[in-house]
Amino acid sequence: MTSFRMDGGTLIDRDDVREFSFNGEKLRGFGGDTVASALLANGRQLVGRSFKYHRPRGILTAGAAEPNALLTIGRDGRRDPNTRATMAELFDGLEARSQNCWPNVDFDIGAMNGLLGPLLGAGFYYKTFMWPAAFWEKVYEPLIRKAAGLGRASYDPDPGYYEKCWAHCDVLVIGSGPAGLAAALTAGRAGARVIIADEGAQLGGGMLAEGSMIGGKPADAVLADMVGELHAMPNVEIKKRTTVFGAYDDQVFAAVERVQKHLAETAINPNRAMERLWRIVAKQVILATGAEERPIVFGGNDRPGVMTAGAMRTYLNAFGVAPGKRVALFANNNQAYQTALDLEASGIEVAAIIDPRKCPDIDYDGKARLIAGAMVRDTAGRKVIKSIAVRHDDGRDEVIAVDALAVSGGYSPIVHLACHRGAKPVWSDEHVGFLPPENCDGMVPAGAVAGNAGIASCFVAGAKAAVSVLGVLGLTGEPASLPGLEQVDDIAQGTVAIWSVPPSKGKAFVDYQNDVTAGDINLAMREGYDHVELAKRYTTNGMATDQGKTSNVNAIGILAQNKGVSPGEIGTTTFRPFYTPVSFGALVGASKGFEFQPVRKSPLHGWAARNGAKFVETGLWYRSSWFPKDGETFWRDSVDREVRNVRENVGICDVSTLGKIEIFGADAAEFLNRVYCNAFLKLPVGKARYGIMLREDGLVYDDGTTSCLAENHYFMTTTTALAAGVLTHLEFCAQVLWPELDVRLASATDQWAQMAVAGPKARDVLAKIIDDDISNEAFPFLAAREVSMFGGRLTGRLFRISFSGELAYEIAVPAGYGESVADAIMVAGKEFDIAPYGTEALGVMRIEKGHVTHAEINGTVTPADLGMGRMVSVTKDDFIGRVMNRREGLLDPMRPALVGIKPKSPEDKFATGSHILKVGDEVSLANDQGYVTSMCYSPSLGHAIGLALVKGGPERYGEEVVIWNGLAGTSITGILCNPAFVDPENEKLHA
Amino acid sequence: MRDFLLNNVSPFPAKPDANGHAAVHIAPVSAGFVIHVLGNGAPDESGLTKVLGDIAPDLGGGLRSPSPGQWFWVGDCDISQGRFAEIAGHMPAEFALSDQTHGRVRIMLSGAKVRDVLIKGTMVDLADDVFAVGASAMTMIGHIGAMITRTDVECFEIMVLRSFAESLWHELDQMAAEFNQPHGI
Repeated sequence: MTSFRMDGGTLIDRDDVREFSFNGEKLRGFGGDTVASALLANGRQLVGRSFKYHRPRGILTAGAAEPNALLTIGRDGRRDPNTRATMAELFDGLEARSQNCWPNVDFDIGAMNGLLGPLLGAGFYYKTFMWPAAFWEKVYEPLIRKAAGLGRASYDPDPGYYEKCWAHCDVLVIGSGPAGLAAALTAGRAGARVIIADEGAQLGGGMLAEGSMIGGKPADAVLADMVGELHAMPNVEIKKRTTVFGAYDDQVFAAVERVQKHLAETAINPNRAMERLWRIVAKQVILATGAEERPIVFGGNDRPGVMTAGAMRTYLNAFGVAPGKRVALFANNNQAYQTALDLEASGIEVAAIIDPRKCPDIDYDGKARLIAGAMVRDTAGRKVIKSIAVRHDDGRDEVIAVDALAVSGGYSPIVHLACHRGAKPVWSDEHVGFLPPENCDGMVPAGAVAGNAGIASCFVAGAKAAVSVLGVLGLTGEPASLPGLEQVDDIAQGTVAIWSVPPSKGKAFVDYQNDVTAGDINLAMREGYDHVELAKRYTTNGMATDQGKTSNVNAIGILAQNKGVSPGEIGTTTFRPFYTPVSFGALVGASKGFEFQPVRKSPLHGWAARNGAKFVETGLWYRSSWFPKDGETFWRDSVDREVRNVRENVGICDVSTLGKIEIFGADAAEFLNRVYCNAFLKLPVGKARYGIMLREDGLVYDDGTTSCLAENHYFMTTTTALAAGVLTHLEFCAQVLWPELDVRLASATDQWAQMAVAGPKARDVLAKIIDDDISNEAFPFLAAREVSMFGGRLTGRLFRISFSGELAYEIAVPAGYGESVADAIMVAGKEFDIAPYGTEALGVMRIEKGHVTHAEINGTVTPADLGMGRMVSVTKDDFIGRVMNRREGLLDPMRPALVGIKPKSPEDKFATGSHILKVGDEVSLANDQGYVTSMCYSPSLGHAIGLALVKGGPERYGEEVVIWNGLAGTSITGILCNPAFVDPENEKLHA
Repeated sequence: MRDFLLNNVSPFPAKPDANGHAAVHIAPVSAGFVIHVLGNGAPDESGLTKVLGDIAPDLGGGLRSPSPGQWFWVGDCDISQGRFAEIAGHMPAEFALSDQTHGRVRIMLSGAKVRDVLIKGTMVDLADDVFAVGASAMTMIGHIGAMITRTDVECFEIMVLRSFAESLWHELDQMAAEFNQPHGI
């Protein structure tokens, strides 16, 4: 190992040597290392380049807030850009690369941006690159985007599997530092269902870096005891590597678990999720998220080797990594002094402690020279820190040679989750930070997030919080007895606010990730963007992946300092999920590829597939669209043949996807009479009727047939698209509008396999499998009843209805028998040249017949617009849409109404959506007469036909018009006509 | 009349390895009945139980309620269309029956890891003291609506619309796949 790896390190396993690469260079670390600790152990302080100025950057933190050490880890589809080196666990074979640098991190051409610093201040792109205007999109913006930025996403598909899960608990403990552990133990011992979640690979939070004794026992031994007890409790669920990133209404919390992201590719189980997105429903929550240590804003504070004091202590105690050989500490609070003590205890020279407080109230007995009332004004060094410039209280400057600098500007409680539901954090002068809102609605903060300091104090706070939530849950519990409680003494941090130090030559960074300096914040103020939300957007402070975890409070402090007010008056920007970045993979879960969305298959899907169907997705349904035969290479070849065969012989079509609703009850007829605009009260048993439903506004909602199968038992069909919508509508009518009616509704769409058998020979075919008499006399048009089939082996429902305009039946059988029945119909129909037809042919035939679908029922039409005005009852007392259907505007004879349309020259074609113009009018929508709603080639007529909604409608049959396709820029002459192109007298239906 | 072959085709894919999970067993239910019972007044499950016991004492089965005043009567023995018609004909007016045997199909999930699989799909809390044996609820498994019933300590029945059956099967198979180790995990 290198000289930076020391003895100790509670988290690493020195027997587990792991090889990895950094920018192609082979390095070694240990199991338990993060990429950051492994890089530091290898003496790599320079790990990346900054966003805008391409400045050399190192590792600032040891956790989730890291703004600098963002690396691209992995390759191909497993490549994760912008990965925080401080959170990424080291595995064998890991490949890490620096970002935003070229040709490499050591020599980055982009660093020339630093020379242009005066031109690249906050909002520079609003002020520069203004001329010539055309250059903005073509030159300036591409250049800026290329020069700035973070990592690049992979274009390769991620081979990993992701999933989403639900979890439930009485108490969710977020964070497993001393407060979280004490809370979980207290709640767990009381028998509550507890989930404790922590983003780290190990439970412990701040305790993991604690090198001191607790109650006479080493901190790591105390931690092991606590975690061991939690593991032994069956009512406690431990979620490590799990970041709770969002708090939502109804106590739902979202978390992402890194299930296998920390494993080498060879160790990944392809059937297990790489990441798992949890939705956790918690009755009560204890927020033990801790506090983030703030950097201090001074010149050159971003130079590699500058690190927060707590991070330095973590690398030292948890990972056995020396941050440098000669270190200085710049801190404005007492807690940070522990870093100096730990460094000295490890044999690392602490060159100086620079404390801006003139008389720090601390009992420090270390060897380091304490320089009180002083500040670090600047740093020097090319790619790593070499020295610091200290401004003494008396104005004297001193340069001190160091190779690392620990910085602590105080602590910012991690209040994000407490604020996701809209509450604002509250400023505390005592704590020099924002504390969680007072009423967190089912969420109790405890520990450092609530301003507690010191392990024993956090133990007490966590246990106390747990007792309080147990009370809310109706449980009783005692605060967990834990070691060291006799040490309880809220440590006075003595923090004094230091928002920025006097200016120096070097840039003083507030937001490392976005290269926002104190000068940028000041500039924003001078230019009027002094509101915290405006300043954020003008400077980009607090944006991007870290969302200002280390920068926001300092920026607020600078704004407050400049305005002469308290940071509490400035306030914070709005906290929103996500607390830390969440991968798209986790958000998508398993819903990709074949599992992108559920698939609905008709009970005749297998039959259709065996007959060569081409399927089309219709919503979630897969519908058989056409059935190509040998030699048919173009879909129209098949569709034209299928149509001709139905018109001349007989065809069979799967219509199982149509919505089917069973309606029962003594008032079912009255109910139907109210939901349809036409009469249904006297529909006799054994008969079907076409019905139109209106919306309350009098426009058509849906159409379909309803059959009376028995007294008080009806069977309704709906369009495929509105099957669920119509059932919901009917339930609303039954439950809310007319609860006094005895009517009961059951969806039966999936119970029945239904097929249309259509064509002049349809009866001949069905007679071979149906036992009952289905002659025209015994089973006339619109007959509907149960029939015996196959010699009594099966009962089906037969409906004599037709969408194609031919002699046609629809036969419904229990879904499991659908394929057998369809096969039987094919066998029975062979002598009649039966052939399957799909939805395309069905669509052609309905246009030939002038039947409407939702292409025409488009939410703007009345029954009269569709040529069915006479169906609207004028005798019924009431029905849905009755009153509004009689509005003056809906009775205007010049409303667009349904017509047929065909080209004057049979060889001409036109497109759906084309507009209708009067002959001679200027081609313009100002002269619009209507548009084509449906169009097809009619094999029966040998030319294109269509349906259209045209002003004046049927009054204009025979009129020549212009069919204008504005998109294609073409026009042809067409003729308006009766929409029933085939069998307008309905003779076939009654054959 | 020609003797046509009539097969009751299962909507589930015939995928033998789907039953190979070590810690979770996924099995479609091929037999039995599902009858939707629609009441016309206040929910009266005890009254319905008595009626069904009187009319069809041999069928047994259990009731799962998807909504107030409605039940799915689910049993494991096959009944013919004629038997259904006979039962429906004997029901008092306050209960209407809709045969859903083909429209709603069932999958049984069982094994030590069954809840670890199901929490990937449903937001229902399946804890022993919350969702005890005999409990049922309408829910979503992923994006598919389904009714889940706990039939034993480590056994759950999922009832789903037939058209979604194959898709749900794939989802469950995928959700359980991480337990495909020889000895489970």
